[in-house]
Amino acid sequence: MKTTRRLGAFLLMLALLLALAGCGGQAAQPLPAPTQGETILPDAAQETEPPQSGAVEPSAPADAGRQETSTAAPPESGTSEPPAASDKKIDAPSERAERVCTISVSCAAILEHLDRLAPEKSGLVPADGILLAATETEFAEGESAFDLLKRVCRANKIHMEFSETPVYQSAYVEGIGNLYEFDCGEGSGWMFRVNGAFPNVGCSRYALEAGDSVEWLYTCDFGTDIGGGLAP
Amino acid sequence: MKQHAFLACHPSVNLLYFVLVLTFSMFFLHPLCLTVSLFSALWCAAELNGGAALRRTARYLAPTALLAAVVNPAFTHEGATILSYLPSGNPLTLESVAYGIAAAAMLSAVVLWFSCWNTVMTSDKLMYLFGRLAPALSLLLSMTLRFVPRFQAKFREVTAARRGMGLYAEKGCLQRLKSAVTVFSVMVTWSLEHAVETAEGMKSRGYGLPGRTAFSPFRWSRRDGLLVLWLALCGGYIALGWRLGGIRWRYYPTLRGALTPYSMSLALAYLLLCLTPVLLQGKEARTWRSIASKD
Repeated sequence: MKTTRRLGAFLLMLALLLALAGCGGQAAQPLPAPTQGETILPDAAQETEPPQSGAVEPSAPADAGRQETSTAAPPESGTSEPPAASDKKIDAPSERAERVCTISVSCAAILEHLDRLAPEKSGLVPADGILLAATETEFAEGESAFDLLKRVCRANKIHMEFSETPVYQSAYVEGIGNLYEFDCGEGSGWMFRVNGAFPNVGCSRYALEAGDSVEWLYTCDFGTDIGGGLAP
Repeated sequence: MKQHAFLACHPSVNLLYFVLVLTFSMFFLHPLCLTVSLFSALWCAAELNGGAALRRTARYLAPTALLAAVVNPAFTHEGATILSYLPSGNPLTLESVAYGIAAAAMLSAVVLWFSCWNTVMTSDKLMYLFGRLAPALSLLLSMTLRFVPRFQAKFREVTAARRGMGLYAEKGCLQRLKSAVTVFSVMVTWSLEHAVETAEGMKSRGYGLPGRTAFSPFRWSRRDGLLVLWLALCGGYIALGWRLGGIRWRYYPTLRGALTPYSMSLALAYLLLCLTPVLLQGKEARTWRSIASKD
C-alpha cells in the first residue's frame, strides 16, 4: 500500500514535471527564432497576399533590398541586446537616419467605455489614455513590429504579456500595462496601426520600414472604434 | 492511543466544524486567512492524525505545493510589479508569485483538512448522519470509500494464498505478469460479487425502510450543544464579515485588500474556529488533570 501510494505520488510529480518541461521548451525556443525570422520574414511577406491599403507598397521593394544586405552581413542577435547591437551596427550616420521609427501605445478608446472596464483595472488607465507617448527609436534589421514593442516596453518598464507560437513565428499581444484583452468588453484587445493603416499581417510578421510610425491601440469594439474594423 | 476529545463529540458537531472550515479554506484568499488556515490545519493534523502520519503527508504535499507555487508565475504574467523577465521574454511579476504562493497555501491547507476529515468522519459517523436522509446514497458512499483499502487488502490475501499453493510464478517477467493478471481477474469477480452481496444483505435487513431504527453509540450531550453554539457564533461572525468585504483581497493587477482592525478580528475568529479541536482537547486535558490531582 505504501509503495502504491509512493508510486501514485511519483506519477503525479512526473506528469506535472512533464507539463513544466513542455512549457520550458516552448519558452526556450523563441530565442533562436529572430535569427531565423530575419531570412524567412521577408520571404513570407512576399508570399502572403498583398496586405490591404497603403502598407503593401513600401514593404515589397524594401524587403527585397533587405534580403540582399542580410545575406552579406552576419545575422545579429536582434532581441538579446537590441540597443547595444544597433549602436554597434550603425556606424554610418546616413544609415542611422534610415532605420528610425516611431512607436506609441494608447488606450484612449477605454475612456469612452469606462463603464465596461473591469473595476480593478480602472486605476491603470491614464487620464489621457496614453501609456507611451510617441517615441523615436532605432531598430535592427528584420525587426518586426512585435519585437519593437517588446524591446520598447522592456526599456520603459511597461508591462507587456504575449503568447508566442514559434512554429508559425506568430506572436499575440495579450496585454500591455496590465490592460488585457477582454478587460473592457468582449470585443476588446490590442491592435497595431502603421502609418495610419492597419496591416493585414500579424505584428510579428510585419517587418519595420524606416520612418514607420507604429501605434498600438486598445480597442473596445473589434477595432471599429479606432477605425480598424472589418471592411463593410 | 488515547482518544482525542474531538473524536468523542457528536457526529453533527464534527460535520458542522468541517463544513465551516473547508468552505472558508476554499474561498478565502486573504493572506491572513490563508496563514491562519494552513497553520491550524497543520496543528489539527498533528493532533488528530499523529506526527508520523503528518510527516508522511508532508513528504508528498511539500513538493506538490512547491510546484503549484512555481507553476503560476511560469504561466501568468499579469501584475504591475515586474521583478525580472523569464527566458520567453514575458515578465515575472511580484503579483503572480504572490498568487502562486497563496494557491499553494490553500492547496496544502485543504489537503490537510481532508486528512483530518478522514480521521474524524469515519464511515459509521457518516452512516449515522446520512443513513436516514439518503439511505441509498450513504450506503453507496460508504461502500465506495471502503472499496480501495478493502480491494488492496483482499489483493494481498489472494496473492499470498496463491503463492502458498505454488500457483504464483516468482520468476520471469511474463510469468509474473500472467500470475498478477489471474489474481486481478479473481479480484474483479470478487468485488462484483461482494457489492451485490452487500446490497442484498442490507436489503434483507430492511435497510432504508421507513420506521426502521438503528443502534448508534452517539449521544447528544450538553458539551455538544455548547460546541454547536460556539461554531455557529464564530462561523456566523466570519460569514458576515466575508459578506461585508472585511476580508476582501485582490492579487491582480496590484496586491491590495482590507487590512483593518476589523479584518484582524475576523482572522482571529477564524483562528479560534479552526483551532476548536485543539482548544477542546486542551480543556479536557486540564479538567482531567485537576480531577486526577484531587485523588
